[in-house]
Amino acid sequence: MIAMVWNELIVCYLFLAGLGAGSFLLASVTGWLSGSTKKIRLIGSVVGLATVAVGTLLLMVDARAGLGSPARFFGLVSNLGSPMAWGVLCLSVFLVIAAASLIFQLAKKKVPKFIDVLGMLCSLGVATYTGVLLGAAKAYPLWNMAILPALFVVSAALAGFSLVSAIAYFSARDELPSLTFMPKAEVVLPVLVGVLFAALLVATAAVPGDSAHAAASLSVQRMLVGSFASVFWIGVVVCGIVVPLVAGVCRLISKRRDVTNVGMIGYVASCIGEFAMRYVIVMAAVSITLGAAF
Amino acid sequence: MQRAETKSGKRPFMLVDVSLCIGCHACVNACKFENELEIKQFNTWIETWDAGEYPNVVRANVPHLCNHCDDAPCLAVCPTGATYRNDDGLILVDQEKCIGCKYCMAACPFSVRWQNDAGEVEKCTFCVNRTSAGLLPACAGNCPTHARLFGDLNDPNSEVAKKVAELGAESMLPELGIGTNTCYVGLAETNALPKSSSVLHGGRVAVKLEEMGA
Amino acid sequence: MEEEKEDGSMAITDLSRRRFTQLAGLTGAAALAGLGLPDAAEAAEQAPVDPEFPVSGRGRKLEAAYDPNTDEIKVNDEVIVRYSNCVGCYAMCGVRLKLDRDSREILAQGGNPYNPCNAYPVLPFDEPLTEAYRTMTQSPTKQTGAATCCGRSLGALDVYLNSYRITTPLKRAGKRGEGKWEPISWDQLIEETVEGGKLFAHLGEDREIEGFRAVRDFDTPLVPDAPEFGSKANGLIYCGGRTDGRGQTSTRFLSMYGSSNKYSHHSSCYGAKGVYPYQSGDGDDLGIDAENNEYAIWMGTFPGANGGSVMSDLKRVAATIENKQAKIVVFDPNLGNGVVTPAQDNAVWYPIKPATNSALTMGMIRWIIDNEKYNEGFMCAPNLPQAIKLGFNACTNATHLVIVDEAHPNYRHMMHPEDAGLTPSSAENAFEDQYVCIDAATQQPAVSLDCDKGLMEWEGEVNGVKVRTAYLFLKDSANEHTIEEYSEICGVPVDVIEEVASEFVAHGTKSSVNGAGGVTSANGTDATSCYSTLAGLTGAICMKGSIIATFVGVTGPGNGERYLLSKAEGMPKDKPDARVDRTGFAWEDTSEYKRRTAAGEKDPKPLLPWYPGGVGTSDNQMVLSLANGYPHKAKILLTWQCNPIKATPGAQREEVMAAFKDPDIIPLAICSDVVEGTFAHMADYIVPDTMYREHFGISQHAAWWPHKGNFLQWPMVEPKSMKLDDGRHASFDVYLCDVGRKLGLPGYGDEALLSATGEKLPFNDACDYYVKALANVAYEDGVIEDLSDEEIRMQALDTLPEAWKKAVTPEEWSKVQRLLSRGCRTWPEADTWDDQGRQTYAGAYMVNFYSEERGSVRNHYTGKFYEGALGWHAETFSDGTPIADVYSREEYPFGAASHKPYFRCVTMLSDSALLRELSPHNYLEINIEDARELGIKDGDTVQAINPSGDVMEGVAMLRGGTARGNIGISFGYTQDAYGSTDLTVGDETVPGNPAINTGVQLCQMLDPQVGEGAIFAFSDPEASTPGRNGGMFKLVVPTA
Ligand SMILES: Nc1nc2c(c(=O)[nH]1)N[C@H]1C(S)=C(S)[C@@H](COP(=O)(O)OP(=O)(O)OC[C@H]3O[C@@H](n4cnc5c(=O)[nH]c(N)nc54)[C@H](O)[C@@H]3O)O[C@H]1N2
Ligand SMILES: Nc1nc2c(c(=O)[nH]1)N[C@H]1C(S)=C(S)[C@@H](COP(=O)(O)OP(=O)(O)OC[C@H]3O[C@@H](n4cnc5c(=O)[nH]c(N)nc54)[C@H](O)[C@@H]3O)O[C@H]1N2
Ligand code: SF4
Ligand code: SF4
Ligand code: SF4
Ligand code: SF4
Ligand code: SF4
Ligand SMILES: [Mo]
Repeated sequence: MIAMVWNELIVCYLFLAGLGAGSFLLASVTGWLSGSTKKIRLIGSVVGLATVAVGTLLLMVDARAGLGSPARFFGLVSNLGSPMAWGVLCLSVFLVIAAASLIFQLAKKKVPKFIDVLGMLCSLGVATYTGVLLGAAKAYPLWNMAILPALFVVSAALAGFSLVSAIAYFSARDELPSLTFMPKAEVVLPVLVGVLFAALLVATAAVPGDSAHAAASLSVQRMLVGSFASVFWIGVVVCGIVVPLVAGVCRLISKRRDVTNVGMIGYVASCIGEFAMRYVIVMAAVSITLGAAF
Repeated sequence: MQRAETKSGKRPFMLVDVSLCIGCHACVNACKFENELEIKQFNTWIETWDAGEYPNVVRANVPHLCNHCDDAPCLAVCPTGATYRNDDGLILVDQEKCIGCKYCMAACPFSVRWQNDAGEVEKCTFCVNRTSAGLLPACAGNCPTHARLFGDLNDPNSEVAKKVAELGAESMLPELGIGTNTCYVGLAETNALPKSSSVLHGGRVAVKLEEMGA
Repeated sequence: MEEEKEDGSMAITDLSRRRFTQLAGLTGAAALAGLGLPDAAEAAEQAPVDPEFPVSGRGRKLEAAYDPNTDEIKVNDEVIVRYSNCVGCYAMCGVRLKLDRDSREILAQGGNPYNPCNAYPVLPFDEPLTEAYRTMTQSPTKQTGAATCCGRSLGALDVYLNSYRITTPLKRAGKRGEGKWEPISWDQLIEETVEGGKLFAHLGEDREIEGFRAVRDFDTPLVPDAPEFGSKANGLIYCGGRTDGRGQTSTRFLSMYGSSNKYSHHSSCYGAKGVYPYQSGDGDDLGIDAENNEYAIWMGTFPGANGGSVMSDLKRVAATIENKQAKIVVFDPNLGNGVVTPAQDNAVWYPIKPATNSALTMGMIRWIIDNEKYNEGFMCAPNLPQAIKLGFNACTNATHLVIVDEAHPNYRHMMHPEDAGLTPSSAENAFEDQYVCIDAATQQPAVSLDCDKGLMEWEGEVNGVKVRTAYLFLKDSANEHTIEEYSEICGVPVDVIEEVASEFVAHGTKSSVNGAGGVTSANGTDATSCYSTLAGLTGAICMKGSIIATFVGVTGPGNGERYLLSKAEGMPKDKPDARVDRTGFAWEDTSEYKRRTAAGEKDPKPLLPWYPGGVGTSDNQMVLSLANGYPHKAKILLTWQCNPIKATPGAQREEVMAAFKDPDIIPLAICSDVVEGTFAHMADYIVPDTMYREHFGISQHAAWWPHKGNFLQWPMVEPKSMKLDDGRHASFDVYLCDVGRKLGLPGYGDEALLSATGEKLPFNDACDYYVKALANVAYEDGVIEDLSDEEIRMQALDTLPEAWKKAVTPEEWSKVQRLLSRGCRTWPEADTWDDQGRQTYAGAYMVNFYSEERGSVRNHYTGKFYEGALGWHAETFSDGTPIADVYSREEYPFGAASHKPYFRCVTMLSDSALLRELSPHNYLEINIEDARELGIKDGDTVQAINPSGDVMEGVAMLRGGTARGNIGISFGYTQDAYGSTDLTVGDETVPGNPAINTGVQLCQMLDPQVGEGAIFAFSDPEASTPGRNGGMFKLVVPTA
């Protein structure tokens, strides 16, 4: 009996929020690019808005008592000391900005620069917040406040960029070369995810305090060899890091730096991988009360 | 013992003497009846195991419940303010405000919070309805060995203050540096012994012997 | 982990459940998943506005409020608090019920502060009720005196509130054991069970069944040609009852009916503790003075985990450990969930192999004798007055002479003055017989009563008869083995044996040793004798801090100052010598033996063993007798509140169950139960009963508590059992009253109960009897005061039924109310000890180093005498063959030691969803090192198999807290009925809940040495009690 507070619903929420943030980040960044990126911007905005909205919905569904008495959701920002209150603010602003951006695009108007700036900030905010949310929960040593926010930001970027690129591969292939930073990003991001994840494991394994240490080792153990080993090795490592990296390197060293079928595999894999990463981080976490029993 | 000040000047406090706890569950079940908890809801539970190496073995029983932390992580993360601190310093949940986001549950290092059927989060209240009227909490009032002593730590005449003055008080996870108002005697000594059985919650295996890497 | 499967019961909707309830006479299960407490909305509605008694979202109405500034207590008028006894288990603690004054709903349950079991320090009887409230507050002086009940007790409350309950009479509507019933009226129940007839003709059973009337026939012998079994009336075989003080009504019934086949669970419970070959005297059970000792050896009871009074022992032992007054050691195959905890250094557990207590004790005795550390002065006092003069409170027979002349008619008996040619003494004698010793002053034989000091080690001839002192038998017995050999046998290291022996003697009369259920083994007669024999070496008996007399209180309390309740004119006198359980009677005296020897058979053997020296009555042997139809069958089996099949390890098997379902063996089976227990399941009729909290009972204390008191149960809430037309609630008591009246038994009906002044008063309900018995207690040994009006109001004792009030005089009623208000009567603790620490309530005790009771009895299989002195004897089968000679120890290297459950009570409480949640099943507890050698992992499914091939399959729990070579098993799991099987009443069915029947039950092997074809569970060949702990097992991991 290993107590767990949050479940797959929260995993989906964390993933969708990250995915949306990453997508919208890409959409916002296109404002600074020279080539034609209209379709990609649209894709990123729609995906960003939709996934974050769905994620937020999941968050509300998970908050069963609030769902039963929706008026209670108005209390959500009562305690500004709570990362969740800030998160809610971030999400709200994000949704407003994303919606506004979309409206401009659908109205075929130029998206104002300040919306792009705010969009980038909100995207970063949402992605960071998903990490802070977990990091602030002291009961789980795996949820490391120093590393998780950064890890979630890069992995959000990787997943979001990948998803948008993948969709663009089918519906806006012509615009893909405009994303000039992508070939490099497709190498750098998986590397960063890998490095940060490794750092997370190292930091977790080295957490001080007997109980925390025991819980932390058990978390790490559950990931590396225990009940989450397959999700970890296949999902996080292979799909989330190795395959995207290989695909990214292939693209970077290829002459034309075009997106190929190999690249597509990398995109799909990274989405799966970033989901898997959030899954193991949430599900393999072991509370230190259980540690206290060691 | 230095504790954060409270508005009322009182400091409701529980001291659990691990050397006196025999795991009889009188407290657990009394709590259930007093607080009308359903079968799978527990404000307090006992963790039990064989401690020491054969044949020098003793039976460890450690009660768990809310620590009404001075620096309460649950309070810090609750976005709605449903979790609050009352004038006596107790950490309580206003169910009317709770949305059931479970952030407090994730933040509580002691895992003492649980969700009711409506999704609202609950936990030990230090039996605020009883204790604020000068009565003992259901659990401490039904502990046959008075392994659980309850009273006002700020009143030097209370039994609990006297015992704390004599024997001191340990927190459950001292490394967290959270000031706890449920404290223990003999916990560190207990945890220092090697475990020679699974850890049980009641009669259920909670952590298997093999999982403890013993 | 496993999820509880409630599916079966959940299938019934609320509505149909209610309809079912009405139809079938079952109540309960208000909320199968919850605790059946009113839902939150209802509670909120009920919440009082009174700011003095706040009620938050959770939490129930308060009983009182306490102001720490003024030290004032204010009682809440809306709530009443009543005190009585808990019968959650047989420890019989006190209980406190918090009730809503208006609705009488039970709000909470706790302990009774006036009862020493639940409160330590205990509140003296004279303290006002407000002081009782104080123990529930944060008042700085009272928290450690808080009166408590245990977790099981609250499980029992869960059962009371929620389980399906039989509330009206049920008659079998299928075969026995099919779980099919029809509800019948109370009158039909009485009519049919009394008058008999073709009761099941409508089911196609043509048998004519004799009822109570036909069986009560004093002219026809029960067994033709076997007059030792008495008349046919003895064909009523009764079993039931606990030490809860409620057995008086059935005792009365059986004696008025005229059957001596009356059993309770004593034999299956405390085993050989019921035989006292090593102590003479008039006391009842002995126990440890947990409160006052400096050193205590617990050997067969684990303080805090089990014991005659778990709570009383626990509180006192915990206090002596906490304040460093005492050091306690516990020898037990299982480390119990008790007082041996971390972070203290004066309570130690020593693992011991099951059924080897006497090896350990003999090792200790050997050390004490070798080092001459015994108290020679005490041992040489040849009589009680002399021992008292020396500062003790009991004596020994160390110096008494035993006849060892084989030719002498009193061979192996004690020498009496007549045998020695001495004139009996005229000195007052606390014991039945007079003995002879060698006077130390004259070196000549003398009547021990007339001698100040005897010789302990003497052998020779007296009056031409070869004799030796009783002590020499013990010494020889101790010398049979070396301490190293004893150590090897019991698994306790030599240095531990020596240290414990030396500590035990060093603390003199402040050290104590005892145990209980741990002696229930095939060599239990030795195990139970260990305690008094050790005390005989130091004088630690009936002294403050030593082994003490327990059960001190008004005995009975039938006959007292006010009423003579055990008497009635015309009581039948027919008391046969032999009973169906084969105890207290020698095989050689049976008609069967005589007949077979007369027919020329040489040395015939019975089908099942006989026990001339066994415990008084034996429920486990009664079960085995009926299972084999030997020595005779039953006419009527009446059971109440018991489960002797499950209580006898090894008896719970198909063949035994089949016999109990067989109308040839038991033509009429009547069971009184509150749920469909094992016996109810196999009965023809079920008599509904009240449960505790709903009925009367007056007991002494099972606790090892040296003081004097009586403890009572009384109906604090209205019974849930059906209300009869005349306003009485159906119960076993009422059943017996009505059967007695219909039969015209003496002592039943309108002129039945006698007052001390000779008045004849009616007996139609339990209150008629018990309220009078309460009056006896109130007037005994210093009459108590009336209860004040204020306290009457506090507990609403002015609303009690008129019938109770009418049972006694108005003068008595007010005193009875005072008893009810305290739930007990205790006498001042200060009166317990004299100025030299002697227990004033103790009877006269003599420790027998040689027991003629035992030493002069022969095993009828071997023809050999049993040993007269305590010694180490390995477990044997009935014919004296060591079990290890019949089966291979190498193949079956394990013994088993069962212990009382923490989350069940004996065979009960698996119908509590709360306790099932805490503990869904038990385990096979295996030593961690043994398990690793066998490749067993924690949580593996394993099988423990005995030589008879019985398989106990369960989940392995690896423990450092289990002795090597032991399999520990918690009692109380698995059920063959009790709600685990479908129950059909009329045309409604409550599906069985499989979660009630989980875990493993200890199954001991069959005794292969008894007669051909007999089914006989391994038993103590001397005491007749179950061979519960010990036996032979192998552990196997099943290959799937
Ligand atoms: N928790 C709990 N307490 C109970 C009850 C209950 O159901 N549950 N029931 C009550 C009843 S009915 C009774 S009679 C009392 C009985 O109370 P006890 O007689 O004290 O209880 P048991 O558990 O039968 O046996 C006591 C201990 O003896 C140990 N033992 C077994 N074999 C041996 C042996 O060979 N040598 C030694 N030294 N020890 C051995 C067992 O492991 C156990 O711990 O308990 C009462 N209290
Ligand atoms: N293996 C093993 N065997 C043991 C023991 C052990 O430790 N291990 N312990 C032994 C001991 S100490 C004992 S005392 C015996 C217990 O054995 P018993 O005393 O024979 O059995 P109980 O469990 O008390 O009886 C249970 C029945 O009484 C019914 N009952 C409960 N309350 C009431 C009531 O108010 N009215 C009526 N009419 N019926 C009621 C229950 O529903 C149930 O059917 O078992 C003994 N057997
Ligand atoms: S009631 Fe006391 S002794 Fe029993 S389990 Fe609770 S804290 Fe421990
Ligand atoms: S123990 Fe947990 S729930 Fe209780 S105050 Fe501390 S953090 Fe909050
Ligand atoms: S679940 Fe309720 S109490 Fe807990 S953090 Fe969320 S709103 Fe606050
Ligand atoms: S203080 Fe009250 S709510 Fe808390 S564990 Fe004890 S009984 Fe339960
Ligand atoms: S030990 Fe037995 S009698 Fe005493 S409170 Fe517990 S269940 Fe009741
Ligand atoms: Mo018992």
